[in-house]
Amino acid sequence: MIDNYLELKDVNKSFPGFKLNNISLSLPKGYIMGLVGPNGAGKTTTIQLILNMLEKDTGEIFVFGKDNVKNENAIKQDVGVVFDSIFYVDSWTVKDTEKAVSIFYEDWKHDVFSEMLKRFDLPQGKKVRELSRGMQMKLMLACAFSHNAKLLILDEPTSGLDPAIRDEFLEILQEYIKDGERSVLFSTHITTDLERVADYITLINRGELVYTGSMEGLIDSYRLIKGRARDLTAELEKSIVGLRKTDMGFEGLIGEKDAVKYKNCVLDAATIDDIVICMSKGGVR
Amino acid sequence: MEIVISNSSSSPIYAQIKEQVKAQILSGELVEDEMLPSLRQLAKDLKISVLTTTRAYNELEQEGFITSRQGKGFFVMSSSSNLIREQLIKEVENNLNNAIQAAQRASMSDDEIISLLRLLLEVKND
Amino acid sequence: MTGFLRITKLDFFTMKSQFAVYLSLILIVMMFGFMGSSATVLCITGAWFVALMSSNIFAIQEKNNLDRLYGSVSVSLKDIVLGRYVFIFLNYLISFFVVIALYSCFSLFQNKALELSDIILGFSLSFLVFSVITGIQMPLFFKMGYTKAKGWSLVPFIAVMALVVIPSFVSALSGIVEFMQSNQNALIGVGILASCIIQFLSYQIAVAFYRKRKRG
Repeated sequence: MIDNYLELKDVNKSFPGFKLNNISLSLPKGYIMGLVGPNGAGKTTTIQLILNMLEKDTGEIFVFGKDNVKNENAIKQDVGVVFDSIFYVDSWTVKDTEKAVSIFYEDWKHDVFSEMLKRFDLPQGKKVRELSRGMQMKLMLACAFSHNAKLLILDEPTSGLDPAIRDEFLEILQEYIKDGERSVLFSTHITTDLERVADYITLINRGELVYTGSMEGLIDSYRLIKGRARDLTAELEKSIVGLRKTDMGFEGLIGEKDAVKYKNCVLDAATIDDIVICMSKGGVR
Repeated sequence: MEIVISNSSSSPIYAQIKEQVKAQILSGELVEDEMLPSLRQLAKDLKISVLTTTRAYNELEQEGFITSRQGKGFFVMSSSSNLIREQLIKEVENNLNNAIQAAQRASMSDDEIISLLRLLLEVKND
Repeated sequence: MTGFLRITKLDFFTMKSQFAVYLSLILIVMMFGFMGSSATVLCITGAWFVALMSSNIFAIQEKNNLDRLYGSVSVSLKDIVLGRYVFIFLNYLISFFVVIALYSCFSLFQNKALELSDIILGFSLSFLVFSVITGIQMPLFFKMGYTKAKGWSLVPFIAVMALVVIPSFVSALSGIVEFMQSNQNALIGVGILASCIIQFLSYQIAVAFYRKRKRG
């Protein structure tokens, strides 16, 4: 019985000028994990390493409990992938796309695909290049669903899409994990999408792992601290990430353990956005 | 079972779910042995994470309001409305103790306390 | 179906809209055939042309981000490269048969006898020309992607063309051609063997290059 559908242990990858450093995470069966971080943080790199589109320097990656390189082909039969831009030939029709993608799957379900086309309102005869960005994303999703994928890996699937589609997308994801037998890894910089729906979250900043674990745990670990200029002691300033000073005072992110020392300031719950913004402004805590 | 979540409430979502379930048990909207929506269905309907609903249900189970039956789901416990009533009575007791302490600091006599209580109950019942 | 064959099948499906381009091959060959060229010349022309066209699949791959498609399906890195090599080779093979078919038609019209040895020599030399050109091009495309490798990939073409066109080379060539014609069988064997070796080495290099690349 495999509990974790996806597991990364101390994964490292170096490029000139960037290093993905000791990334670890665990995604159990039946849940949604958000992979969050500012642009350039290393989210796409992490996904490419999981899919072996890039070779890791050190570390281990397990998908469905199996090594992601040694069992690459078996694993990929059960993994569905959606990227931020379409990766099918633009002159293919929707029907052609099915013909092309189904070449690779033993277990292709044509009726599921047709069902998805109906549900997403995708006309069979329309060419890929004639589809809107939202429709292209739905096409990638339809293909991912049609071979019984147990793990869905999504790299910024909703970037550039309007809130209505993003909302519909989240509903589709929740429907997808409803039987408890499938998981989703969802990388995005639109954190509001994740805030309520993601069970687990991994935060990456500048190649470093900032947090991985339950969503609740993350929100509980940080506070947004606001106060008057005079309350900003040297000691407090050191504990704050992403400090912002104005004429009205200051605000920033502070760890929960430190926050309790500063009851004289306003302490609010931090949203993921707050955490990501403050992190990108100033250093990793 | 109908639950409404407020995002701007200071109370975390799992706590809101707990409170509403308890309230519905007490008011009779949820009856003994009634099956609650599954963890995942609830998460999907409320558009929240499965871990959140799991926490709410687990805590409700620990506190004795609901019980989980293997392979079937979560059900309202038969003694739950009594449990809630007991909890509420405890709350009344605590509040009354606090009131009595404050009254004593204000140098109120026992009779004064009782008349004040009667007055307040009359106003409430109008 | 094994992994690499799926890639080959996908490549054919990818290129299906491009088959009109191959009609121009037929036109060129017909032109030469009309002029009475030998089978050898026709085959080499055909091979040269197919080698030129073989960069198209890489162009489409890059334009449509197909690396991501290849990376997300259950084929290994080696499958992807091998599948592509097989696709290109099949393109060559198909064009060879088309050329021979046309050659036969022209020979019939012109009441010339079909020279089987000419055809076999044609196969060997055209395969060699094809292998040399694509053998150099393919690893470059796998290493740098279509846009960056495009310039470099023309080098083998120009080299081959130069060999045929530049006079000083031509005189040296005629000596070689005479030698070739007197030792045809050996040449046929050498040509095919050399082609296979070149393709094999090219494949190994391409795999090594592609492994180092970010494939998505």
